[in-house]
Amino acid sequence: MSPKTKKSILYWILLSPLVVVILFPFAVMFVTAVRPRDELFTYPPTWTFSHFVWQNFVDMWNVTNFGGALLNSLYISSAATLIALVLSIPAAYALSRFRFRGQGVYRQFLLITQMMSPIVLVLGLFRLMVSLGMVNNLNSLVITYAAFNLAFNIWMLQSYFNTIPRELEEASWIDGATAFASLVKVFLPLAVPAMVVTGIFTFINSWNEFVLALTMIRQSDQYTLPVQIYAQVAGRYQIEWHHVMAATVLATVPIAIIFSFLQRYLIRGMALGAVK
Amino acid sequence: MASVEIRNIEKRFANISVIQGINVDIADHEFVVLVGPSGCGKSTLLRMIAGLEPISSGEIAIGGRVINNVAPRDRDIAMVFQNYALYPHMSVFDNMAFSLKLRRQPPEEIKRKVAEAADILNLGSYLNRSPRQLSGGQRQRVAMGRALVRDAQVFLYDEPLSNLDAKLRVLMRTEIKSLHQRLGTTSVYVTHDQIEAMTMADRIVVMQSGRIEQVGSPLELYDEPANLFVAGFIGSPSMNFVSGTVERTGPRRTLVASDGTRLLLPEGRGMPDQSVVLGIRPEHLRLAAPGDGLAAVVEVVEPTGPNIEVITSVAGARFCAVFNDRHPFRPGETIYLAPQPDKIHLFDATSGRRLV
Amino acid sequence: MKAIALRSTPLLMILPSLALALLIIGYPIIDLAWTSMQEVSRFGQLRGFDGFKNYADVLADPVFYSSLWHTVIWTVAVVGGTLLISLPISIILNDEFHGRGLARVIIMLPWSISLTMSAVVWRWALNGRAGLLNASLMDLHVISQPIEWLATAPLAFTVEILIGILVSIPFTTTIFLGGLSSLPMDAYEAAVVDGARRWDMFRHITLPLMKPFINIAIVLNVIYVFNSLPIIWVMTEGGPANGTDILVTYLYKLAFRFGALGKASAISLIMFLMLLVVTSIYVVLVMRAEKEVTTDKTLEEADEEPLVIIGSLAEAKEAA
Repeated sequence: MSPKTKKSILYWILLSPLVVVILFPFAVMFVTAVRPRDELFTYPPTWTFSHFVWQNFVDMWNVTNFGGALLNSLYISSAATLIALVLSIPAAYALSRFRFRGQGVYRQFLLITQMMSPIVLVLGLFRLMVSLGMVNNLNSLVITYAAFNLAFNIWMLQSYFNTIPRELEEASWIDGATAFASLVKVFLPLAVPAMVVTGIFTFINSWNEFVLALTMIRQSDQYTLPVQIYAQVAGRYQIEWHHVMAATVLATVPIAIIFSFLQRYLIRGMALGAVK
Repeated sequence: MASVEIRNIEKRFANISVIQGINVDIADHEFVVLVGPSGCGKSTLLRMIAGLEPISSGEIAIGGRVINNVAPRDRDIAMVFQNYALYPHMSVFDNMAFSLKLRRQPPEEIKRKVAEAADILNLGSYLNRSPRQLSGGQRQRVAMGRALVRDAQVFLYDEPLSNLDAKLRVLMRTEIKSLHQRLGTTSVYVTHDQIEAMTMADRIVVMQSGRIEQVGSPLELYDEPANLFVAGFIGSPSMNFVSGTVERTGPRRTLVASDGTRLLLPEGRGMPDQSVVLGIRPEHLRLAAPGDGLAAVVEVVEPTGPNIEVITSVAGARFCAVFNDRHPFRPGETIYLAPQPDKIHLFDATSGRRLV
Repeated sequence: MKAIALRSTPLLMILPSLALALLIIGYPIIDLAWTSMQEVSRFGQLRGFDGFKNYADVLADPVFYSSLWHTVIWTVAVVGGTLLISLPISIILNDEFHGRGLARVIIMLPWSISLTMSAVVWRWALNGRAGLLNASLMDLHVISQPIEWLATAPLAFTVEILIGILVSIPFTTTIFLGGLSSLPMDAYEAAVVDGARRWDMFRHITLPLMKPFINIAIVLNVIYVFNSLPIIWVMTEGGPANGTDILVTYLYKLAFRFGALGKASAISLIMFLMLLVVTSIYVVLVMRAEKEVTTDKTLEEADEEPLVIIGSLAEAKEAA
């Protein structure tokens, strides 16, 4: 056996307890989502069940307004991502390309906004939305999510922008481009990868957010997915676990797949600053 | 084509003055090299000509038109950057065509001009590649090509060869020079490499700490450096220096070095009792009989092929001599070096200026 | 750009983001500070200045102290556990081995799933009668009777801490992997030439060089865990009998269940100040890490951000 194979086996043995614990909830989700309803509470509890009930997904969709929540989440996450990007790109560009008065203060401010989690501000935010008349309005979440993701976006974009040589823009000015043409034809095309990665992270963050969605949205037809699923288990006597698990499968698997492709960029991103 | 006039140019970053009042007139068709150690302000000056750096005070005129407040795109200049600055998302063709497209030239015209430039630079078969797929030398050519298609009034080069390996650098040096001889476009070329400056320039501007030390043709700078800085900067291996005082002994004057060594000076040079620095280039030293000239202890012998360079110690100072003949020097041996009298340079020790 | 840009250009470029951040993050803080000094009716109306009465109420409230104590245990246990597991994991994941890509994907997986959904799934998996954790443990003959995991506070809290650790591992591992991949290879090569063994290299090279990353991981995790509501909220809602209440769950109950706006604002502000202290520590650490990361860079590169911060940012969102 080659040393690398030996090492691989050892590593996988060391990792296996954690791997099992991580995969366990996924197994629970799937097994419950396709289980017949009357086999949910068998005693003693068991993994096995008599037959697959794919119908659970269909029933869940019809009973729980999953589609509506899905649309709400899609709308909020997309809109928040878009707004966050549109506001962050110029800010990141300014931080990356200019030296200006107040730059340091602005950086500190971003850092502090980043530290403030929604939960600490939730009451103040709720009162703000009440005074703006935006409670139960999905757009209240759009702007809060956009705001809470700004710092991350700006930092991520700025550190990527720093890797785009200034000379490229200078060359384009000398080639005859206006500042705007240089931005559109030279700079932004090169920044696309960073914008995509940053955007997807904002999207996932917004998709998963719970506290604000729980607070701002009081009407069940306006629920986002996490709140919708939470509502299926909170304060109920009869919890339809097979529906809840079917919903979590549908809500998490696509995101988990996207994330699996992205996670290497995240690690690379963190290494970039030091390695470069 | 056009002339470039630089008048009383100053540059301050915050309160730090990096360029202090520079005046240079660059004639039409001229190839001028700005050379100096890093931080001397040469790149800043070039970037001010390009419009990439604001001018703190003074004027720059291209073809008689003051361009202080003209945007880079309207200055009708082309520039080759140190790191080439090729657009990584565009093919070689698009890189070269970019400026023409921005000027909305007709597609056939663009094609013709790019093909012409590519032909000159031997890039014909690479036009569809992306810059990533090119070697360093090829990228350098594309950067040149991007400048060529422009028919610009002035070419600016910012250390364009510094990222190439030694061999390629020599090759590209020749290519750029022959290109200039063919096209005759006014060129301003920045480098820290004095050999590049010597080999390429019609005229060299030597800069240090934001000031001009001397302007002149390569051979003028070599033969008559205006001061100690230029004398030491131009020439490789660099000039040897001995400091001492001038003494009058009869009709001739001698230099008395700090260790007591006496050297006969050429006629009419130096005031008695003046503290001076004598400079002599390594190739202007000849072997002398023992007791004649400077006693030099051989430290290292470096054969270069055509020559032998001997690094010696004279009165504690490093002294280099170059010989065509293959003398069998040994480290530790004492040899005697005599300067050719007509090749001696004398500088005032306090001001550093050349004494005529 | 400098040559043709007006001085106001960069300010105009940051203005939109600044305005939004001030509205959504700045304004609520001021509003909370204001509300916390007001007498508030049961229906949420402000009845006038009340000095520090709300703060006095909070400080006289035994549940506040028990929640604070739980918060300390929760934060220390989760952060400590996460670090202890993440460091060896990241060292393994940084090495070359068969299936490393897959291992990385699996370890990172919990990060992609909202805490709410993780908590919902775990709540079902831990169900006292039919939960599949009980099923698994009974199949393995570890237990003979199903266990009511969430019925008593100490056990429920322990389980919640373990889940908290599980979901914090991906982020922490990511920071460490970023740090490990930035370590200079030549230092290890030099150490091998100098005759160092694996353990020596870990002690004398890896650990000291990783220190800034470990510090940052600690501070960021503290902020993250301190603020984390969903796990406890979904699984036990702080119950039974406030037995698993931490500050955030208590705050949320006060504000949106009991309508005690004044008291809730006071707690928010107290938490805000605690966060500010931790944040300041973070800023100092980042600056120090920045210095260490940039020591052997050239001057021009020195103003580049260490991307460590980025990780921090991605994570803090998750706290929601």
